[in-house]
Amino acid sequence: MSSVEINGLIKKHDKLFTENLPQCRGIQVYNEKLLTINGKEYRSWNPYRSKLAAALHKGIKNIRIQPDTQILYLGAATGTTVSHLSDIVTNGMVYAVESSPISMSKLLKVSTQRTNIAPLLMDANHPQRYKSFVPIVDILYQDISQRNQAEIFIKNMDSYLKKDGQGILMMKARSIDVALQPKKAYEQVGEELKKQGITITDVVELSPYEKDHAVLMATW
Amino acid sequence: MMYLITTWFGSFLCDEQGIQKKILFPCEEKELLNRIQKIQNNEILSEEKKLIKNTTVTVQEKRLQHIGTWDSKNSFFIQIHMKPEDYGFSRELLHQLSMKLAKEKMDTQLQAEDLQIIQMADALDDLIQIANLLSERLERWLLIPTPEEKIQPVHHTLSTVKEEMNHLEQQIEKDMQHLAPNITMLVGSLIGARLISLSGGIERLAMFPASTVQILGAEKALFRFKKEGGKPPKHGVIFQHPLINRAPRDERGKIARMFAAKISIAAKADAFTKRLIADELRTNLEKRIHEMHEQKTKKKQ
Ligand SMILES: C[S@@+](CC[C@H](N)C(=O)[O-])C[C@H]1O[C@@H](n2cnc3c(N)ncnc32)[C@H](O)[C@@H]1O
Repeated sequence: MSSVEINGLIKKHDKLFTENLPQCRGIQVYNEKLLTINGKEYRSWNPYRSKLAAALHKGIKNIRIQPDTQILYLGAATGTTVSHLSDIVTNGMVYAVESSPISMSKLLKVSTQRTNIAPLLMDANHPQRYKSFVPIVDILYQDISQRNQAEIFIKNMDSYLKKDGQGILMMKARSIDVALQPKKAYEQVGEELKKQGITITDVVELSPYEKDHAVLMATW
Repeated sequence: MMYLITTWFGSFLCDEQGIQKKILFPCEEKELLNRIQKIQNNEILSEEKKLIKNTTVTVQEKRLQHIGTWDSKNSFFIQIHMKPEDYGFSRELLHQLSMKLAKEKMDTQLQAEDLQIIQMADALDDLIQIANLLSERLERWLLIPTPEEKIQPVHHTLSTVKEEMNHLEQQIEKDMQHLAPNITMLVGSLIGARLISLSGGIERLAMFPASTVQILGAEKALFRFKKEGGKPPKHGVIFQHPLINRAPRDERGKIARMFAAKISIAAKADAFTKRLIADELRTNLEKRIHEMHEQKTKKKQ
């Protein structure tokens, strides 16, 4: 597992936990285990349910999330990963973009108590449409299994990621091209990003937690 | 160079030195929502017009292209950051606003009629599967001598399922007539509903190219083709239509292609223009098929 130091994130028996927000005490988001240590409540972060937890287990390096970090999150779904980020960025904000109204209904429930989440029912293909809500961010996180995932990532980096910010892209080989070997598919995405002047700092496969998925870390 | 930037809490006129002029919005939920709505509708705010008076500005949003030079990739825009807290606007307020907006938008989208159609089409397919399972079970069971009362529960369930299938089909027919009259007239309500379900909604169906409409429902076959080669699939659910499945084998691909093109046009009419054009499409399709036959006989001669 990675040696990253993230405030509010702890490791216990090789499992990850985030410190639950005080106002969310006792609330489970996806049936995760709750644990109390020294009066603080922690939520277990399941790497089989959250690709970011998987990436941390697989040792991605230098991920910089601090209490005041601003995160633009594309493909928030029902808020599994978003909720853990919300635990961590206690003074920051997670701008959670999701295009499916059905997922959004669950995401809204999850966000009710969490004032550091701004849920946005919007299409990540059109980053300009959330311009008035989303400032320049420290981290751009994307988990959208669409064919044009690289294009979406580039557009959003262009509009929102600050100069020394971090881009985190969850890639699904099958959505890139079903006929390609996963490794080749990841390379193809990497090439597309490089052409736009983006630097790739790390690519790590997420097996055994997710099959044919990899995380790509990028910066300007 | 001057830049115009609008956030949820105000409009700002900036240059390389920083913010030169600003107009903050009233710090009230209603006022802020009102402006956000306008922005979402691609309108220009009165505050924005006021700010840029007599100045030429560069803008990042396409919405503002009529009052400034649109340059979405200008790196200035990822350098400047206005913090709401610095102007007396809290993060909680942003949370509240976005929750409210997302909820409103979600409610309208979830009320969309095609979502009901999708659930009904999928439920019908579920019921068909259940009916098939139960029929098979009965058939096998009846191969051995069986007293009537033993199979009664399965029998009873099967007839209930069939009854409900009938109801559901009628309801789909009724709703489809209303939601997608052109598609319904052209391919029938059940295939039409399945097409809407497979594409995720009527507008999405309308945006698909005809080549995609032709193979909707054959994704598995398409996947196999891309991975392993062989023959590409010629048709998806539209194959269930007699026009295709009753056609001679060598004509099916061609008819499917023509049919899909017409369905695609019908979907656009249902989703956007709402004009009734199914009759025209149908006549035209029949004409094309007829021409194809004529050519075929000519070739034979
Ligand atoms: C794999 S799920 C994300 C899971 C989530 N990141 C988590 O770990 O909890 C992908 C999500 O992306 C959403 N999505 C797909 N296309 C999108 C788009 N263009 N804009 C925004 N969201 C999109 C889907 O609705 C789906 O909820």
